Amino acid sequence: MSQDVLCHAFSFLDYSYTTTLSLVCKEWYQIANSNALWEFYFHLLTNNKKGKTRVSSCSVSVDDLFWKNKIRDNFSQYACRISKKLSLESKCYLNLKYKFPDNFSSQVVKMILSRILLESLESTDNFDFPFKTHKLSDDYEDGPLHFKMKFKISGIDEPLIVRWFGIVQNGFFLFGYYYTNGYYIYFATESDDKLNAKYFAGSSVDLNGIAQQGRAFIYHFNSKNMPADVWGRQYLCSTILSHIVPTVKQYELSPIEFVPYWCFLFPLIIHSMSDNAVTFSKEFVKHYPNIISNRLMYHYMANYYKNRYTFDKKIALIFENYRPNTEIQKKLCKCIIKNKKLPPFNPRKKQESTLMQETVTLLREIIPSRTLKFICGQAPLNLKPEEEFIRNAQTLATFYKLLKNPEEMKEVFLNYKFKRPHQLEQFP
Amino acid sequence: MSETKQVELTSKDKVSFKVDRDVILMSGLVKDMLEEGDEDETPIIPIPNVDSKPLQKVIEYCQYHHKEPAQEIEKPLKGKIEDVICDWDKKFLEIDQSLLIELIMAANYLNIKDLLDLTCAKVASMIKGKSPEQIREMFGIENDFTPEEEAKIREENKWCEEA
Repeated sequence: MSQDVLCHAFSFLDYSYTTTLSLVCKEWYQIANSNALWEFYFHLLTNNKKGKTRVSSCSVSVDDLFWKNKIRDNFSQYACRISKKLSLESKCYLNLKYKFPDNFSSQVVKMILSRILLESLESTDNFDFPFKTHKLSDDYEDGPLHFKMKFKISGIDEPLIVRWFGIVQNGFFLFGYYYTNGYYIYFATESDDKLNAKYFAGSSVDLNGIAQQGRAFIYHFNSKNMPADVWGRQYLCSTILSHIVPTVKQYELSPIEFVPYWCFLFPLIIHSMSDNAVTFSKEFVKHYPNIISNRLMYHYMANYYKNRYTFDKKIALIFENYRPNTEIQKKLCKCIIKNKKLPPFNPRKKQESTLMQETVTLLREIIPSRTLKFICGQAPLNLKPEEEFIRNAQTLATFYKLLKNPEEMKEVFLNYKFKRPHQLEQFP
Repeated sequence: MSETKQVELTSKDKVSFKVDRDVILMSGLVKDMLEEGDEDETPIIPIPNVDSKPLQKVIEYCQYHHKEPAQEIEKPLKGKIEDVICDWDKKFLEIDQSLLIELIMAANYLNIKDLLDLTCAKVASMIKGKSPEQIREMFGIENDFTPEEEAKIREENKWCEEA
């Protein structure tokens, strides 16, 4: 194959394959490291609307590594920049506990992070950079916290104002901790922030008023076991995301689809800038708006909850090795394993029905109760014996089927986990 | 009489194919050639770089896709190629590897963008999840690196893999 053709083929991969491709032979090494290919990778990551969508003729010369170096030096870490005025360390590294679902999404996230620069910081509380971690935590005792940050994002002319509100008005004191309503993060361009200024008068903050004006994006992380809320997604998209998110259809990465990532990344950025970068609690990663419709976020979560839906192979063996004594029980077992129509259950035939119930009850005990919940949900009340039998037997059949198919199990689990009512675009 | 105009293609091994003019216009090369001299009833176009077997495949592709333009394959390829192309293309790609390579060369030579994309994406999909050794074996490539050179390449590209 000619070099041009190989280069074209490599352009269907992303740069995480560079090592593999380079190791094949000298010719492949040259092509995988060629400037033309890396220039293409760069445009793919930044914004392929404007950039090149094809590799131009591949002039192979390993001496010229301009684009590869550019990507390596600027976009290869989970880090954003901090103005020299605030900190001598010009970079802030994110403390990520879990990997992104695939290499390309991690590349995109790194790219976007690297375009963000924290320029200045003001607070009602006179605290400096880096923040004190406890100021950000959910259970602070010394009253409402409000601080304002100014970010520059390369590619966007106007600075972005980010405000953090710790809300304690509705909090309550219990066992020495102050329980709060979590926090709000507010995003607006500098000029819109000026227009919103009247809502920040004094110590009270009128988020309701801001949300109605539509000149800000607000993300509310609810520290209670409740979904997060967002307002003004359109605003965020048109002012910021549409300028920085590459639009790759395959990944369902349209600006609006990036909102959950944004809600995920920004608290992470802010936390990472504190004196003691915390690793995020489960609660934190759990709540994002609209998670199901976003494949990237969905897979990120899937990674997080990976261990919850993998089961010991032994469980399936218990099913298969179960050897009942009577014909009717054998038949029932077969139907469950093969997911076929169940034998008729008649409560009036006392002996037969008791045997059948016995089998179902026995097998049901194998299923962890947590799993039962996500497979069949909460049992309705006052079921007739035959209804209950059918329900239980079907649950078993479903469970067995899912055991054999871990991917599907994952899907079912995540659907159960994240299908919650999300409030979008309406303020309580 | 509105008979569709035809074109005759002659492969490297001197096999002739008669094709509708509209169909073969998908090839940038043939299009350019036809525009130069457009007098003959059935122009004969020699394709000296392509054998009859891949040429047959190319024509098959054009016959299907000149009416139904292929959907663009997004970059980077997500998952396997089979997940993103239509059923006809899936069937079309059920060929052995040597023919696939010949097909890529033909698509490149004849300048058929969609076919080149499809076949190149197929190659990319084959590369995915394979080790350098497996790739060498697949394409019959000799390893011309010393162990020291290999270690150096690993080291200099380490950052690419850090997700």
